[in-house]
Amino acid sequence: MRKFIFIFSAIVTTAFVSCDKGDMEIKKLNRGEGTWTIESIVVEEYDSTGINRTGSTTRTDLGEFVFFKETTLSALFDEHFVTILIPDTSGVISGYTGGVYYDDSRVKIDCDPAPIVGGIVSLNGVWTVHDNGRRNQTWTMYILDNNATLATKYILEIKKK
Amino acid sequence: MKKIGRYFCTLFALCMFGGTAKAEFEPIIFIEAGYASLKYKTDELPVFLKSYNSYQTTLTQQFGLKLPAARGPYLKVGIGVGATCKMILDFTIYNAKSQPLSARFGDGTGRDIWVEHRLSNTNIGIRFGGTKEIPVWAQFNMNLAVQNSSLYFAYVYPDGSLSLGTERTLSGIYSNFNLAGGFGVAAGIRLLGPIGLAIGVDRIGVFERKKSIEYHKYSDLNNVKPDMQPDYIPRDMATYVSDPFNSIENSIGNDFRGWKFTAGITLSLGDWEAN
Repeated sequence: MRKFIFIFSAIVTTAFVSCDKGDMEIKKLNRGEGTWTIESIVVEEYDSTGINRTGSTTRTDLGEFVFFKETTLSALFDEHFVTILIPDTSGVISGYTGGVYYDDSRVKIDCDPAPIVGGIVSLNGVWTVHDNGRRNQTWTMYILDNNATLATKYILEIKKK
Repeated sequence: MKKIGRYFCTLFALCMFGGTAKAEFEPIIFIEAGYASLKYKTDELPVFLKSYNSYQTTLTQQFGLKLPAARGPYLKVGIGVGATCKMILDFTIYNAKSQPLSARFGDGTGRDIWVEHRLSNTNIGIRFGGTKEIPVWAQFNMNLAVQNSSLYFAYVYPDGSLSLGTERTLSGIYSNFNLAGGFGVAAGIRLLGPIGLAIGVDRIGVFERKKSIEYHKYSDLNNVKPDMQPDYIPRDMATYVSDPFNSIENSIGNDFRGWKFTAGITLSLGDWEAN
């Protein structure tokens, strides 16, 4: 019986300790082959008040995210990465690799150089996750002008491949 | 509190030696899932909220000072040994989120703040009843938990969408964890074969309340290049605006503690057998 209790406690404790939030949530993105297609990006422009929307553009079929985890012997921590594959107008695909953080509420992408999709939108930065589904996700990012009023809002939709 | 602890330890020892000395020895294993309500209080967060309300003079709706209870699911697995008096050891994960408090300006923009508690709880308890013959049980609990609290501070745009990004001062998720623990009681009844209902209430305190633990924003983003922004929730907004990178004596800490209520469905093996 003591052996049973010990084994039970060890298994459960290990399972609970391994449930680190940051590591657990990003598994939603990098499970399987970790590939998500960028379905669309909506660019909403706002006037100088930051309240009235002056225009909206939607672009589709913009490329792919490939999320993965890389552990090296020299690294202090397990690191999560993303490679973003973006085709240009002639169909030539460029790859951008950098760090990524994801916690179900925010995603931070940091590639150097910055990946640009649709010719105008940099994917680098902290996105707010509005839909954190396992198959589809919606992220938004807000860009302010020099007066700290809303200038542009990006709405990015991605789909698990 | 010490008296309660001493009483509990004595009861625990008696149960271990008295309960298990009986010839009838029924080890059980159980899984419980349900819903928890964490009715916590905090002295620190209202300090910031009051300061924010008085600093932002053009607010048309000020922050309320009391966060609603955080609610969410929990999952428990445990074992018990003994007879009519059992020693229980269980592990539980709680994930509870509160409804937001809101502040708004005249143009529809504003701020929302809410809290999420994640607890990894280990519990040692003494259960009376809950045998093959007795379908009801009552239990005394002693909890120890790692309690991770995250304050979500979102900017609200005129279209109602929320942003936790870095484009606005203070926006983000501020987290830390502390060691929490307490005492409680639970009760249950076996209704249909090994399936039953269980309810519980626990008083949860934090061990380092007097030594305030700051919330930090970027501890979770540090695997990726962090931005240079202040990463604390201030006690005084005016000081924060004039000297944002000086958090000394101007940051609030995590002091959430209070009552935890649970209700769930339990599947227990060992104290039930088919006729």
